[in-house]
Amino acid sequence: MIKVEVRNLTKQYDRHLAVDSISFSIETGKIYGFLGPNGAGKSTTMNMIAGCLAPTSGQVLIAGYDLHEEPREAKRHIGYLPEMPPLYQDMTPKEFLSFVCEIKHIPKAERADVIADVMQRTGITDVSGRLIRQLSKGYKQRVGIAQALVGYPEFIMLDEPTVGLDPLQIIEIRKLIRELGEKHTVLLSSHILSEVSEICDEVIILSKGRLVARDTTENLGALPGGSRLFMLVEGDEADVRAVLEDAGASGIVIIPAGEGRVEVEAEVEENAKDRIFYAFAEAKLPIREMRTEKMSLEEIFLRYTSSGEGEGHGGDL
Amino acid sequence: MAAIYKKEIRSLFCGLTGWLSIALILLVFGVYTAVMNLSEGYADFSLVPYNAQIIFLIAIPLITMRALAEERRQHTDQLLYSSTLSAYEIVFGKYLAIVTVIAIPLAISSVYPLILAEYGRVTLSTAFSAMFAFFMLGAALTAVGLFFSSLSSNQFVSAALCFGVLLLSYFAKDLKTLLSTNVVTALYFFSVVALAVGALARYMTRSWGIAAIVFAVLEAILIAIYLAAPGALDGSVAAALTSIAVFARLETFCNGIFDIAALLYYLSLIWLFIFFSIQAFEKRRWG
Repeated sequence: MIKVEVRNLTKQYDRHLAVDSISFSIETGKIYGFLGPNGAGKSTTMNMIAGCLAPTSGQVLIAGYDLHEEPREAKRHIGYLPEMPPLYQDMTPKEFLSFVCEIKHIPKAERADVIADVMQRTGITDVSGRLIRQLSKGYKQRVGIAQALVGYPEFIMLDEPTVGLDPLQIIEIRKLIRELGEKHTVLLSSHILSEVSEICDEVIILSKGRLVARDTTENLGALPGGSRLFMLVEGDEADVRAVLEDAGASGIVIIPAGEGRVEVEAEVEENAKDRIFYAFAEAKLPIREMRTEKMSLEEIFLRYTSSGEGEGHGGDL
Repeated sequence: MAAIYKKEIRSLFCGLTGWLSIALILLVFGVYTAVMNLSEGYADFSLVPYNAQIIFLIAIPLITMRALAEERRQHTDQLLYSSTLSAYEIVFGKYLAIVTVIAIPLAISSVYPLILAEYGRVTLSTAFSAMFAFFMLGAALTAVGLFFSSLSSNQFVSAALCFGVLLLSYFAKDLKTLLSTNVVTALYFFSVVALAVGALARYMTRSWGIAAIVFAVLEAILIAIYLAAPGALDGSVAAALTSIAVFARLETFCNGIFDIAALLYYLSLIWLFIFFSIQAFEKRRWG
């Protein structure tokens, strides 16, 4: 497996600092998630790693080759799907992939096999003879991914691969990405936390052009306050609070709801639901309603940017 | 480069622009051959390319406008930027493809003097050297068009800019006779040029400061020359207009002279504008 290393990558537009001295390295054959709200610098960073955009300062090393010094060697190891799939609308997927094979210098004898294989893997064999402009968004995205797979680069970058797709297409693309993760190192960007936690092994969080956290998906989800708990309980406020505190909840808000009931809102660990349920049962406090919601990206962000936790995690890199 | 070349040829013939450009050039050659040689009875075929050059004003913007602008609009340039191809391979591959398409109607038209020679005395050497020069003119103008295509993501803006510049070049020779050659005219003329260069600098760098500096420096040099050695400006307007009169160079060939200087002029123009196009394409990577 190849190593991708980013050192102090910075991109400055006129007065706007899009990416502020980001450093990280990716080594293993895992799926990495690039997470951040719109405008966090995800696409800019990916464009710089792919060589589509020159950084203001900093360095990108791919398999030991400096992207700026030896672009040919470095770029051979990357497959990239930009935010807008770069497709020639007046070609069929087959013609398009054949063109991609040529610019990636795939030997002529291997081209037919490579094209057939990537089309089969991305599930576009059925539409290989239709013009790209006539394909649905989901199929266009697949053709875009197929393009990134040509030449079987060890490192594949996908920028927001599921944006604008319908739910069924999203499920299919995610399944495809998971399959890719078995053979390639994948870096995908998203602004949807659930998507990243579902697919990725490790997450890199960007905010306002800076790297604020990097951790495995489990660790991020297991953070106290990883999910938000909503309950309607029969009992008085003090008892309910005591049980919740014992169960390790934080940020507890209790509002009397009348008829001897209270509404509860608290932050808990992701899989603490069962434990809390039994704790309430033991305390003989009947639960009338209970649900948990995963914390939104914005809330996790607030955590990382306001509480200083981000510094701690960012410093581990 | 072969991949880009093949793709570009394909896209020119997939859309309308390739066919339309070929049709236009063939039409103009056909009409002038019919009028000059067949109807009027002139034995000199070089009159046909001489008169037909005006078609480049339409054909060149038409055939070059999409080349780089469309890649930008469709975001397919990202595929090229992230590939191992160099900017030179991409731009030059596209350039060769367009020149190939222009060569097709010219190759067909080159048969006409051979047919005419069956029925009368046609100086074939003049005819073919004029056709060759016509092709070189097209090749030089293609490089100019390619450059304008690299400036915008809107192909119509590219086409309009290219048309404007070609029009100026086409009439440069006539303008020369209209403008007086005195020193004050030169001062005004080159001030306008300095302003245009400043505008280009603003467009390329998106910085008013740099544009202002470029304009100020050029204007200062101009005024310094005007004050110190006004004699140097005498006739300079005519010289400047001659240098941009790309079309006018064809005339020598049509008069039966194989003008090496004009060929070198065309080749330099090709080199220069391909270089500019590569720079403009590469500049996009730098955001």
